[in-house]
Amino acid sequence: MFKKVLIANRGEIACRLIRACHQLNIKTVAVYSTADKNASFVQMANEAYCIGPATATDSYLNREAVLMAGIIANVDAIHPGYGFLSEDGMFVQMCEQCGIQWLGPRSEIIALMGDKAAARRFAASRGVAIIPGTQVLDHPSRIKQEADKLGFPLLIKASRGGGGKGIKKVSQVSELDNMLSLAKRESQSAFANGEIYLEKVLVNARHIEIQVIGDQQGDIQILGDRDCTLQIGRQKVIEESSATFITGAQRRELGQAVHQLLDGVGYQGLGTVEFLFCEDRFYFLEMNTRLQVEHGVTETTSGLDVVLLQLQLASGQGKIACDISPTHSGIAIESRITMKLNSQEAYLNEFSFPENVRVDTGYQVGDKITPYYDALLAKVIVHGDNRLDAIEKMKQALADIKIDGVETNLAMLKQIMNNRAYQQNQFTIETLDTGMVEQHESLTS
Amino acid sequence: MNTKQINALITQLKKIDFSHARIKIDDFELEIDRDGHQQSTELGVEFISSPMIGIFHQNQQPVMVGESVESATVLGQIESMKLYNELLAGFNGQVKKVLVNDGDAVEFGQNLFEIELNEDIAE
Repeated sequence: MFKKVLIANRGEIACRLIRACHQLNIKTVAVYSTADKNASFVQMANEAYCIGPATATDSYLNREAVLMAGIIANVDAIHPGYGFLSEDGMFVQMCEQCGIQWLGPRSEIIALMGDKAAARRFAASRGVAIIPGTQVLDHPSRIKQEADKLGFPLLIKASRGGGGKGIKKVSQVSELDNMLSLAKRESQSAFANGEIYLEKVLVNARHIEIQVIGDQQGDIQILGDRDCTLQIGRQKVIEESSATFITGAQRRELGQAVHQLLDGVGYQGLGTVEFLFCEDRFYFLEMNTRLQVEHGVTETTSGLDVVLLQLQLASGQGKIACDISPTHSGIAIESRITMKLNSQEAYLNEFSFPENVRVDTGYQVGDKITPYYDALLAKVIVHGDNRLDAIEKMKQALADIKIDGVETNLAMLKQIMNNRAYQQNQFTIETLDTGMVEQHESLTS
Repeated sequence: MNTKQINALITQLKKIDFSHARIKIDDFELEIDRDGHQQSTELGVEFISSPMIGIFHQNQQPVMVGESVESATVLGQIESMKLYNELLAGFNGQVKKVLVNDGDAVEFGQNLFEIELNEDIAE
């Protein structure tokens, strides 16, 4: 087993990873920016190094600084969590060169899946259905031609985007030129790459994703599925495990698609394959080659701790197929509590949660809120015998949460739980955007 | 604005007491937050802190207490990922304290030297 692991992240996920390491008697090293010097995760870790100023590009995204901390602290492995450097192929290579084990798949797989157009091509080559669309397009005349063929509305997607970022919807042909130059410009500045491709808009789609884990031999196992349909501006708000809108036969079909995609690839570590479900068919959306924010719902219904499992498999202890047998009981629902990030200083004057639910957070009462990072305040996870039971428990949990000092999306989450369409499982990825409940702008993480 | 000009601007700003500043010159925009703790309490004294996490290497002739330094004086090197980065004094003055040893691991923002400024600069 590893002796010492560096956690290249902050906030709730850093706390969660540190706890898992300590459970396995692994020493932990935190890296932090000046804005986080009093944060919980810094206090929890056995060692902590300040690696840069508040701006993420100079601290959490600073490959040399993170790695230098790992070298100074003499760690065996680095866990990237989600976001920041978690899907940075270059950083993975640097870790390899420094003899520090990367807790995730090989850099080539990260690079392949990080290039969304290449990932589509790869999925199609493995016989997995992809959303109708194009490869990377450059010539305006060619784009126009392909757009006409696909029909409107359509999406312009940044090849290096993903996670719902870098997407522009084009409703009619007259908007195409304008949106195209906007999309290219935005993609160039956000992802340092102007490549775009087109994709058809799937109407009334649901989002379903499969949690996988691979051992050191690259054998993969499916740990469960999640329904992450409820989104605002393509950012997830509510997640459920297991998905209840598919049949057992459809679940087997999905499992088969995932194995078709990843068997023989040599995938190591945690990953999630995302699909859209539309008119009884599944379409590959993208793959995230890392731990995801919403992994907790899968843990709740499967009884597995996926991070412990990842650490054990990565250290060479245990293999897929003989050691893991996920069982799924009941339904888990997660609500993401997000805050409105103001440029002014804010403090969490009150921050309390009921005791009988799982709460993942990197904050505690009295903490100063800084505007530098994401808007996620906490994740609340409940477990019920069935979906309606879980919804009742979430209602109760949300009612018992007390947060003061920052503006949050709590009221909206409560409205969702009380919404009939939600309770009846009748919604799509566009439902929240088209006015299912009242919402405040910019409260997504 | 180029990096040199920005650095010059920040050096000037260091002399002013503020916690948040927003400067806009044409297309150029700069926002700076200053941490209250890092401001030197004593007038005319400045801490030279590490601009990065790394290993500190002293000069062949190590900088000693009492030594006179100028803005461009190299106080040592910070090694990060096998690259050596010069640590410049940035001020004219006398070394009051050396807070780091050769070979020490240093963090971003860690104070390494204390410099007593020459009076004409401190004014």
